[in-house]
Amino acid sequence: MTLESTKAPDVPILLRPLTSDAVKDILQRPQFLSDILRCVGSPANLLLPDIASLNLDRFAQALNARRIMGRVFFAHKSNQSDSILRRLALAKASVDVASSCELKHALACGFNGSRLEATGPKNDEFLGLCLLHCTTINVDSMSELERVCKLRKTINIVGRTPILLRLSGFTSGSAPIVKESRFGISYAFAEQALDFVSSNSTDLELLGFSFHLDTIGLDERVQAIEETLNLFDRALDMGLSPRVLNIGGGFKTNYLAHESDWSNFNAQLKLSALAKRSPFTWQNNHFGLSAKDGVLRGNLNTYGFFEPNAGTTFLENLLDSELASRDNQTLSQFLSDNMIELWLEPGRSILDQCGFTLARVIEVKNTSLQNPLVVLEMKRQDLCFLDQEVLVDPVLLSSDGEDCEPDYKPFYLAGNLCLESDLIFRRKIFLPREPKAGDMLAFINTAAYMMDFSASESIMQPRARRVALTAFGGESSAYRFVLDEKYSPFDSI
Amino acid sequence: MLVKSVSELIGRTPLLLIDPAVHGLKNIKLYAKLEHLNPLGSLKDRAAFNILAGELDALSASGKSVIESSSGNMAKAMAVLCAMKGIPLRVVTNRIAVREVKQILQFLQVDLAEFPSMSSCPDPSDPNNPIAQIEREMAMEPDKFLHTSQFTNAKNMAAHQSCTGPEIADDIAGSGNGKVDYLIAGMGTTGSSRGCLQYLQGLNPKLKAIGVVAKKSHVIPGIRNADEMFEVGLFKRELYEAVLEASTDDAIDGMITLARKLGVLAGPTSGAAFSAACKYLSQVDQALEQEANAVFIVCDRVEWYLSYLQKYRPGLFSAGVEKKTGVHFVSERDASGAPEIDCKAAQALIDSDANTLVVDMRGGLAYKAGHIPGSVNIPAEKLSELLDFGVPFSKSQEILLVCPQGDDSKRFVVYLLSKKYKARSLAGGFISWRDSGLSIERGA
Repeated sequence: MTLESTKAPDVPILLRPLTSDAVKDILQRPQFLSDILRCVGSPANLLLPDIASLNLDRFAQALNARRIMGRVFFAHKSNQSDSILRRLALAKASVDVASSCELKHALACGFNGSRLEATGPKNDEFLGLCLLHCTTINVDSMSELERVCKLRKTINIVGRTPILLRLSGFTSGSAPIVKESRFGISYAFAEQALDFVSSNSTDLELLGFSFHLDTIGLDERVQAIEETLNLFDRALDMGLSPRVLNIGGGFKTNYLAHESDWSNFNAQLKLSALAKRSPFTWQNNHFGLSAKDGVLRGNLNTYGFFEPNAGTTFLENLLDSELASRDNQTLSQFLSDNMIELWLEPGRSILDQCGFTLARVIEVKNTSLQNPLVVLEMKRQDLCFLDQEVLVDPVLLSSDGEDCEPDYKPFYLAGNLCLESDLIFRRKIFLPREPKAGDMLAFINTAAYMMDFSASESIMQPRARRVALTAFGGESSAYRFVLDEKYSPFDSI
Repeated sequence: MLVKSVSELIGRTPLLLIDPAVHGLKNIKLYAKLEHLNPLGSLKDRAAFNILAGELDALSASGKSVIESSSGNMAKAMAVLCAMKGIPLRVVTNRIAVREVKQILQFLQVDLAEFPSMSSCPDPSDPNNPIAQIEREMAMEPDKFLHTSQFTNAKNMAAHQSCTGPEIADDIAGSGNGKVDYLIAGMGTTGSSRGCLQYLQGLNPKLKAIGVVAKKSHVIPGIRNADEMFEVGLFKRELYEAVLEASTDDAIDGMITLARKLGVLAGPTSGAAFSAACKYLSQVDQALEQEANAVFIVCDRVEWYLSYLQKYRPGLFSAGVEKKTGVHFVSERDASGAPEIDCKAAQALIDSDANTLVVDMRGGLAYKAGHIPGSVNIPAEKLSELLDFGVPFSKSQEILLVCPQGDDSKRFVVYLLSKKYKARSLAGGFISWRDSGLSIERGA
């Protein structure tokens, strides 16, 4: 029975991480891990670049199985690592770069300009580099379109510049409450953009259209695809030759091993917000939920950490969806029959199980209200993407390799900043035993967005160093570590 | 039976005694309250009418609109009741997952505002949800709307306390069978089960209520999952003896049994309630020392949920129409032996033999973007449908089939050859034609 309204306060509320066999195997080697921390300091971000390549292959296979021509662009913004990019350069990957530094980094890691696509806000330096390297520009606005043409003249670019028009503001459906987007050319003004491209067709080569929906809904994507396909018709009539449909990223990742953990956590959090159980969050933060007159208000404003249809499963469901406006053909059938290339921009799903973050325990003490508190040698920003709560428990690793019978107790986990709000989690974490100084905590599956997107050097506490791990020795499966910047993909192939 | 308004038909629904052969219970009589027979299609007709009845004339006179958050039956019922009085209805809701449910609301001209699905990367400061949106809209135009607030409106529950509950009690008492011992209901707003419960428990304090919710990540339109129950103002956990979780399969299996064995054409909430009733009652049945009565509620009708069934049980719709002949039954091995012609030879053939027909099997967009001059466009899907009825070509023609990569066309060639037509596949398909630099024509 899930809907118990009273629960003993110390029944552990667990969010046990989904952990790949490879990562589990590495966690069995505390000596190896503690050597890494001794070498690079705490915290450390550990990366498994070979896994990224395998994840990429899964996307390619999903397309191949449906005879869809396509390209998979790794969303670079999800991680700044050298090793990941260098490894993907040897795979059949392309990269979605969102800044001039990301573009330069991708070039340095072995991608040439035509394997890249530029998205997001672009200054002249970024646009200029795209032009010089024949990188496809995913054009975000009418004014950007004009800037591209102007800059071409200034720097005398010969040959047409490949572009995609990024769209937003799709309107089909009844009267959806459209979430305002800061990106893209509003669908209603697409015609105007096409006119511009058409009258500058000696400079611009329209490869096709793109969108990225900030939603987890499948139906909304199908609708956006149908509306975008209408523009293919329109562009063809105007003499243009679009052939690419870029549906962006957002393929989701599952972080949790047990659905029941996620359900229980949600239920307990709601009971706590309703004051029907003892609180287990820091200063009664309920992550967007609140109660008024005994009725729950608001939404849980975090990522859905449990996700049964993640990554390629989500993509496959999308490809197998029917297009109502195209005689109910499936999307995959429509794309392959019409020779439309499908471009994808996954970040999280390429980095799924590609890395974890390791931090050392400094000490265990009590809060002013006598709640046990573990102080870690890391800060909240070393883990939390845009301050979003990570609803996945860390794994406690003993520094001396000793394991005992688990006896779960709640702890708050605090960071190393001299700042009241620097808690790694704003909820109690139930650990199988009391940690001691020198123990390590491993935060699982952090490679996407958690490692460096929001990391800071506040109070001169260093950012985590990156370390690449590679397996060697065949079946005996041993691991080597190397500083991320020293990683060479040629050593592991 | 003469009535002056459809609203007179709301309520007084029959109670069906379920044939024991269907559920196999020995000591328990199971009854279904057939709420799907309400004129607007669901048990929500009662609550909608009870909430609106006293307001309609005033609303109509003042020109106010009704605003409500509902993703289904309540919206349907309110839409009809409001429309008959010329009162606009605005519905603000999370995304409606079932196509027909949304379509019927559009058909009834509801002013429908749906929230997008949750963001993949939620903004922690995003306060958007239907109730907050309704409050915002009401604050901006204070005199425009009446918010009927079904989740917290006591008239929702009262409709069932004063009507549905007594109807059930009277029918059971009338059959000489005593009182209701178990009440099983899917949990949406929980207004209906609580309303019935309040009345029936007054007659039998030992009555046990069984709530049914959807298993997490299972979809049963009309009932919520365990997590979502907390968002419901009327929900009181302590009133229920048990809260059972039903899967999508439980719901569909229940629907199938209800429809095929009992003639009750009911939707997934009812299917889930029926499945949960059978499961729960079979556990308590053996231990009972005297006869007992159990009632579950049939909430709404099957018709709204055909796309739901199609999505979660596609096998229901493919049986009986499977074909054994046609293009799709050409094996891959047979197809690999299809005669091909390379691009240069194809060009020569087209130039020299006026009786050659080039059929481009790609989609319309690809054809429009560029095709072999003189070719006609019959997309593969369409061509395969045509071939089911006959071959639209002449046996004297030389037919050249073109697909994107020269693979799909081979199956069609083998099929045409088997029907004694002259056909060949363009080797490498249009891609290879394009890459050979041969001439290409644009336009449809």
